[in-house]
Amino acid sequence: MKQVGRLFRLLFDEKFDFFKKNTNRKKAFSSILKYFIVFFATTAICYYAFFRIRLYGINLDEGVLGLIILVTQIIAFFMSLGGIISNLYNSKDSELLMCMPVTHNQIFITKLMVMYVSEFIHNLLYFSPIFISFGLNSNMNSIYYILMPLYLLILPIVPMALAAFVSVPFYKVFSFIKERLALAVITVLVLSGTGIYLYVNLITKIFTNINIVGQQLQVIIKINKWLRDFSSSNYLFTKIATSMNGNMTYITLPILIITSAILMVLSSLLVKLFYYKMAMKNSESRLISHKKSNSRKESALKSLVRKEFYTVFRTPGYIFQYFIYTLLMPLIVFVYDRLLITITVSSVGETMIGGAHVLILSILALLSCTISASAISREGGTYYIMKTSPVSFKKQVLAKVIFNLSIVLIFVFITMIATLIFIDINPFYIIFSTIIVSFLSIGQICWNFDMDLRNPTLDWYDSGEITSISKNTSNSIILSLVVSVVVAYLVFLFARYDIVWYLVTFFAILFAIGRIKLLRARVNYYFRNNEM
Amino acid sequence: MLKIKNFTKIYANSNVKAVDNLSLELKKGEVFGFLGANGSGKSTTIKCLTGILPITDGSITICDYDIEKEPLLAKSLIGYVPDNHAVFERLTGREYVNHIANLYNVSVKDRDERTKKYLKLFQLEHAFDSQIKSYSHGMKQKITVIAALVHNPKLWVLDEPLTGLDPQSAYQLKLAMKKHAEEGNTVFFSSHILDVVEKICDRVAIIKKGVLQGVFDLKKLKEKGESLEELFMNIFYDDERFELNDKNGESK
Repeated sequence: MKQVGRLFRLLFDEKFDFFKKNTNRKKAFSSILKYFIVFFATTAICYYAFFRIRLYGINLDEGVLGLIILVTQIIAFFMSLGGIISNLYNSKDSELLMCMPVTHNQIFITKLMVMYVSEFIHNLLYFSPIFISFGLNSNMNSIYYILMPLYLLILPIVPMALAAFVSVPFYKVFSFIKERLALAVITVLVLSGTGIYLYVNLITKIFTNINIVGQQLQVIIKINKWLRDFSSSNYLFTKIATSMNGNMTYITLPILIITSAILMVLSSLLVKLFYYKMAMKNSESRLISHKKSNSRKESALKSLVRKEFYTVFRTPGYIFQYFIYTLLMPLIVFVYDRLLITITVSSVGETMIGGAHVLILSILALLSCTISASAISREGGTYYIMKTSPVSFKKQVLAKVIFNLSIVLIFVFITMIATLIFIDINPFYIIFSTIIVSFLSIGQICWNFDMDLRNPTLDWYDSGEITSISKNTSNSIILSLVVSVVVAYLVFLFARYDIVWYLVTFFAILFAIGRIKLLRARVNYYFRNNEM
Repeated sequence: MLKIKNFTKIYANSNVKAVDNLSLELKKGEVFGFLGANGSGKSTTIKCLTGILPITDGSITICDYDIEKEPLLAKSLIGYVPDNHAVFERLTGREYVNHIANLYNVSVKDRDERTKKYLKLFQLEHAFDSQIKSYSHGMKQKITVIAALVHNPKLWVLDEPLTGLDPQSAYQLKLAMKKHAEEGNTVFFSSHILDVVEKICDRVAIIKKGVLQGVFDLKKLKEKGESLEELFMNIFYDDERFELNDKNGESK
């Protein structure tokens, strides 16, 4: 037991570095204050949201609370599934922990405990503002606020146990797909494509069938009826919601506790059977063979571009992180434009379509340039190869720019052709949107590259970490959105004058030239002075 | 071959001189050992002479090409094996070596010949078409060595090259270093393994806290009946021993 306690402390400190970071009182106080501010701000926002919903005439009763609990449980289930896979099966510390004087069983129990505590903390931080603000808006009994912490303590157990059950087959299928790049890409594309299609289909139906403003009362009545029907079918969670408010708590709460405990024990026993084997699978090494090829001489530039393609497209994580929007660009733009036509015909007017098309296309294209914000960081320990090669740094940068730009442009042009063929929008808008977005992409790639060149994060352990530990990627996402919105705003503002398209194209060209010149001017200086 | 003249390095985020006024000259055809304790400035010197880090003061030339003024020409003459053995893990061994050969503009005939030779030497033929990601630590080190030699560099620089290699590969690497020097090239490497340095080096330089303590001819040292280990200990640990004795109240 002592060993489990020590191990728990070790893993807990590693996961929650709050106590390590806040060594003095002032720092600890400011951190706690920050948490409280975020907590109260979230509660206030949630309160306002529920208040508005109530004003529209939607009944906030225990049935709605049951629905909220169901949604939070679904979210907790997916969070737990991710947590089990990353902390138990994929964890980098497994190898180290297995060498310590503790049994595999003790490691497993400790990891599960740490996961449970982290789920509880997540529940407390993310879900309690929702429950508190709901209670205030629906006149819950005072016992509701007393019982809430207890329920927040118990509720994570069920989704965690279910996630543990599902995790074993899920991980096996996931590993199978992950090892086959083509299959992984197809799976993600199919899943994302289906999701987007269903979502847009739903929205289109709503917009074409319902005039929300004109039929507000009927809509509210329909929603209330749907909520009533749903709460009767959502019996289990409505019952939990009722017991949270003090009704039949003495029966429901013990049943919930016993059920959660049984599920937890059963799922632990199941996962325990597979834990060691799955955790150690990542440490085993076997040679991954590729097709034998012959040596061939290529120019340094071509070789550098090829290397970029190989290193990025053989890393599934990079494809999902950086190119998921690129791969889905034609599909998203297609369904978005279809939706746009449906809405604009009935409400806004045709002149706005061009601006909206530029907005979605530039957002997707510029997000596809984000990979350049880690162009240097991704090199990590291999940055020395760039530095020691007898190839000018400008050429090395050019190779990385060509790589990113070629992918973006290919998909922008595929999107253009698909839109020209299948969507009934003025071709003038589509062609100019494509030209504008192409130049914006050139500028954005250079800007992102510039950011990473000035402040690269070369010290990482796993390639998946780069986006989380480097601020450049998140900054580049913000920049992409800002640039897209500014350009679309200009088009929207002067949409009735065709000359706006020529002007925005001119600005996009200026943007591209400006960023190229800035990057060219800085490349050698930063390259020389980057210390690794 | 390699001339380091009054070389000083201060890192951007520090005021301390990592290397202070170091001067060295390496001849054609010699294996030169670079010794020092951890943090003494060995890797910093190596990183500066290969162009990884900028120089604060002084100059470094390789075959008369200044690494700061004519970096591309100077770099084309160097083959570098780093201490971390970082390589493009998603490439296969063949793709990686080919890529490096392309960067150094090596003809297909030459690269094939050299690759074949070193693959056999390091017994890596079976893994050459496998992704480097699936290599063991030692195999990664071997592929780094092969890639560094694919353009037959005039100056072969190795930072702690023997760490992690199996005895047979370590032996082969030592042989390769000697052979490379015999062919008229220069080998410059850092190491902590004094026995190895003593066996394969012609001369050694010892650096302590960024300051060069001296350059020693190992033949002459042997003739004097002094071992490299004794020399190293005298330079490095005498002061500390005396300091320790002082603190304990003992006489020097």
